Parts: sequence; C-alpha cells; structure tokens
Amino acid sequence: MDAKNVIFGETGLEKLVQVLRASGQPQDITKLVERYLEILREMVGTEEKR
Amino acid sequence: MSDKPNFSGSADQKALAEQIFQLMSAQGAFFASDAPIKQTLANLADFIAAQRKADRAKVVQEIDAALSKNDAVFGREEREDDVIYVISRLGAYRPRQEDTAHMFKRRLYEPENPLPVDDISVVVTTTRPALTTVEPVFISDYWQQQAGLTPIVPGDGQLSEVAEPQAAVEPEEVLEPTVEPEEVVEAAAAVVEKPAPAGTGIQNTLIALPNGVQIDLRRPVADLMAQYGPTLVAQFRAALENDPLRRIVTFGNDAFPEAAVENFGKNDLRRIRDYLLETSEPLLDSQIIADIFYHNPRQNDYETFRFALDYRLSREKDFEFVGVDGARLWSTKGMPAIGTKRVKASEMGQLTGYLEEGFDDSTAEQSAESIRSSGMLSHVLTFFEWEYGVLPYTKALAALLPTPLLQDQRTAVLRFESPQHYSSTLTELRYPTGNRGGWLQGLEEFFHDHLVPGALITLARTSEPHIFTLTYEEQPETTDRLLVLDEKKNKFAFANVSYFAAVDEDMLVNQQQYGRLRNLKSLPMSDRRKGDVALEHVFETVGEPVGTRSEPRYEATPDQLFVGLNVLRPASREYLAHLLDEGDEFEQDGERWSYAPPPVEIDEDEDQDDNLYDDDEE
Repeated sequence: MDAKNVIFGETGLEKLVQVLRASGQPQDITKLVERYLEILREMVGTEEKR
Repeated sequence: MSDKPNFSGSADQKALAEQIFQLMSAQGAFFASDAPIKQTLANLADFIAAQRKADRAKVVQEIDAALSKNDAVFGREEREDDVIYVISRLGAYRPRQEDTAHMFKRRLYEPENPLPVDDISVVVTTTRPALTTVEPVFISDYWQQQAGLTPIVPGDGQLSEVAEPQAAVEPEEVLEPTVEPEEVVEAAAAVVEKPAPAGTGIQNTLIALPNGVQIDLRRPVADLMAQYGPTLVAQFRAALENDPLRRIVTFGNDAFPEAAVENFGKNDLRRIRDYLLETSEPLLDSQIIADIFYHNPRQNDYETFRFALDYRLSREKDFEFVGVDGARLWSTKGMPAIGTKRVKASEMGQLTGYLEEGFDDSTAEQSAESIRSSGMLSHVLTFFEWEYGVLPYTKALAALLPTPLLQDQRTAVLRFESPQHYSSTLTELRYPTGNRGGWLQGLEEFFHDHLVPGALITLARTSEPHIFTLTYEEQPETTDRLLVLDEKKNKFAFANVSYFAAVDEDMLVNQQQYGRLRNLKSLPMSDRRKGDVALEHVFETVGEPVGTRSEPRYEATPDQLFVGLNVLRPASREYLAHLLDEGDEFEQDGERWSYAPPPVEIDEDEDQDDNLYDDDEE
C-alpha cells in the first residue's frame, strides 16, 4: 500500500480494533499508538526484512 | 405457470409426472420462477402411496420410471440413500448465469485502450497550486509504469514490494526542520547497502498527520514516538473521537473497542446514583463495582468492566467525573456541595483570574520541579484563604496536585488528612478555565479550628493520588488580637484568638501590626474582583495619611498593602506590583508607595473622613 493513501487514525483502524479486542483489556493509548504505527508500517511495507 | 412442459412416457407415466410437477410447483409457489425446487423420492412416494392407498415400494418404482422418462424436466441427484428431484416453476431447473461483462468497476479501472500520454505532468495535474506544497498527488500505478517510474510487474498490486527507495529522489520531511542529520546519513547508508535495481521508482513511506506534520514510516516506532509522541497521541485521540463509527472509545488514557464495552441499563444507573446520594460523597469506581455489581478484581473481565463503567458514566449527564488518574471518583447531581457557599464559583474564578494573567509568583521560593519531586509544598495562609478555606490554584499548587484526567474535566475531589488531628477533609479542586483561575476549596472548617492567617502549612502527597496530608508546625499556645470578619455585621474587627501554630509574623494579621484594617470595608465580591478598586480601598485603610483633608494622600509599604489586599481577595506580590505600576494615582517613593485619591467634593456637613483618624495607632 502506498503511504500517500494512508489516513492517520483511519487506515488500518479495523486491524487495530481486532488487536485491541484480542488483548481483552483496555490498553494505554500511548501503547496503542505504537501498535498502530506498527500496523501502518506493515501496511506500507516498510517492515524491515531480516 | 400457465405453460406447462410436455411430459413423455405412457399415459400413466405422463399423468404421474404431471401430478408430481404440480405438487413441486405448489411447494415453490413463492419461489423465483427460475429458483430450484427440490423434493426427495421418499417424500413423493410417501405422499402418493398414501393418496392412492397403494404399495409404497411399487409407487417408488413407478415414480422413478415416470420421472426418468421426463429427465428433461426433472433433474435427478442421488445423495446418500435418497434421490432428489429438482425442477423450477418454469420447468427444468437451470442455474442462473451472472453477466459481469459490463460492470462499471471494470470499465473504470481496466481501460482496454488507455489514451497515450506524452508528458506525465499532464496527468498529474492541469493546474499549478498557489503555494508550493509537498502534498503527494495520486498517480495510478498504470501511469507510473508507463512513465517508467516503476517497473511493470506481473500480477496486480505487488508494486511496492519491488520498488526500493532511492536516495536521489527521496522526499524530505520538509515540515520538520528538526530532522537530525545523522538520520539522513543513516538512510543514505541503508540505501547504499541495498542498491536499488535499475529502473525502480519511489516507495512513498511518508504519511501526513491531520495537523500537517509528515512522518516517515521507515523510521523505527520508538524513534517516531520519541520525536512525535505527544503529537501522535493527540492526533490519534482526535481521530478516534471524530470517527463516526466510534470503533475505539477512550476514557482517560485507556482505550477499548466500543463494541466490546458493556452497556448499563437505566436501572443500573439509577442504583449507582442512589448509592452515591446515600453515601453523600464521591465514590471510587472500584467501590461502586464492588458494592453494587459485586464484581471481584480477581475476575478476568474486571478491568474491562471497570472501563465500561467509567466510559458509560462519562457519557451520562447525571454523573460527573471528579477523580484523577489512579483514583476514578464519581459524583452525581444532588450531592452536598463541598466548600464554602459564601463565595460563588463564578466570583472565585474571577478573583483568581490574576493567576491566568501571568501574575503567579508562587514558584519563586520553591520551584515547581522541587515540589513535584519532593511531593511537598509549604505555604503561608493569607486572611482571605483562612477566612473562606480556599487556596488559589497557583503553579506551586498545580505542581503538587494531580492534573485533570479528562479533557473537559472541571473539578476533582481530593481528600486532605490531618495526621495531627486524626481528621480528614473533603475538598474540591476547581481547575482553571480560560481566563478564570482555579482554586481548592473546602478547608474552611480546618483552618478556623486549628490555624490563623499567617500560619505556615505544609501540603504533601500520599501513596493515594487523591489523598494528601495537611500539616503545620505546632507551638505553645499564643493569644493575640487577630482580625476576624463579623459575618452578621459584615465588618472586620479584632478579637482575642488563641492558636498553637507557627506563623510568619509579617503575615499575621494582628491588631498591633495592622490595626487600621478594622476600618476596612467588607466589599462585595463584585468589587473585590476588580483588583484596582480593592487596592485603592486597602490603600486608604492601611496607608498612613500624609495629606490634607482637601488633598488626601496615603503612604504604605508593599508588605502592608500585600497583607491588606489579601484580606479582601487573593493576590500575589507580582499582581500587587502590577496594580501599583498601572494605577495613575499610585506613586513610588523609595520603598514606599503613595496614593492620592482623585479629588471629590466634600460636603461640609458631612462627618469627618474616618480615614484621617488613626485611632488604632499604638
């Protein structure tokens, strides 16, 4: 996915909702933003390949 | 239905086939005309054998034979031990064919013969923006491939995996001038390590936040959070709040999917409200859960339930959150007010407005950082604070007390314990709003019982975020004539008071030092909130008269004025200095200030001006 199509706070939010539901507990919003950035990184394909 | 299919076979078989067709058509009378209508051989045999009162086995054979002769109409499926016949209301069943040859989607995205383009800029935009921005313009993969920006790859949508960034065409984070040069070097080094294949294009990894800040997703999450953490959290929080689907909801710093948040019915809310009213003081969410819902903290869903309770109550207008981070307290309408009723909240907000105007010197002697780290704050009580049991929400107090947990939170309820008297006091902290200052109220009774104006008090944190201690240094009993406000007569007077607290002698409002304050008028709050009006009256009262009857003039030191002004209203030394500097009638003469009231016509019949007498001078 091209990063120009990413809308912060909207793109990938469904995935984040799934992650949050799977955790089963309310999460701190800072941790959630970190997880959200990871999701966005995965979506735009910038995850380092090792 | 009118045009029945033609049946073949012997006359009996034709009749039987027609009868079965009518039966199955009646069964699917409300089906679409081409929808499959199915029936088993066993069911058909049961029905017809019962109708004809014939042998079932024989009927089975007859049906099978008759329908086999008409296999153009009756589709036959063998499933396990049974046979299923299929027809439609039109006759034989034929699966529907979807015609997708002319879908709009296909025409939009897959042009068979796209127009040739010589210049790619023609495709990008036909107009030039007024201001040059780095806002990316969408160019379809097709045209990027045509322009040679990206290689043509087999399959669709796999473009970004192949393309590697090139240092030469990498977009810069133009809106963030603080990008460290090391990162550029690192990025360049990374590119050198992975040489881009020939003919590769741009892999755009820059995303723009709603406030315009661009961040590069190639950087590690930890780096991004370190540099943009507060911005990212704020923007993410705003995005969640603006999400029309409200997929994720927040309470304080916690977030959870809305769909998984438990609902509370009207009856639950009524029980919570009744319980709060019964206890007459704000309660912790954990206490509400334990006492009303009998939920155990050891249960797996406890935190989820707690979040649900807090979130749902925050959406109800009958409940108000008055807690802090770590102690989520809830209040409801109709609960007893905390603190003095003698000063209205709107008046108090204006009286402490000088703090929001920047005249807050509370951290001059003890820095906010030291208060925050030590968790202790020392403060000398002024007369106004002592009289009304309020403490202005100065920077020093703000460093000690917790910040609001919710963005729109107006108040927090805190408990102050006195280890010296084994008592505790419920107080209400009003946070500043706009140009109105904040304050802490509810200490009136404690101050009057144990302290005097000028007493040195120490406020300290405890292990609980909403509980604090209030202590003072004890000393042997002292009796003095101190200023008091006679509420009934609405006049100030000096009265004998015994106290056991260590005091700042300069701030002790006793008759010996500030005898003239007995003439101070207890101005209405509407006048007190006007700093200049209050100061003029204080000056006329505490100042030493040095003028004449026709040209009155008063002199006083800033310390005297500070104590006097703090009898009528809270004020800092900086605010006092500001009022003195701004007032045209005030003049500085060395360390003293003088005040010459504007001339007024004096009625000869009127009694002498009280201010010219100094009957309290010792």
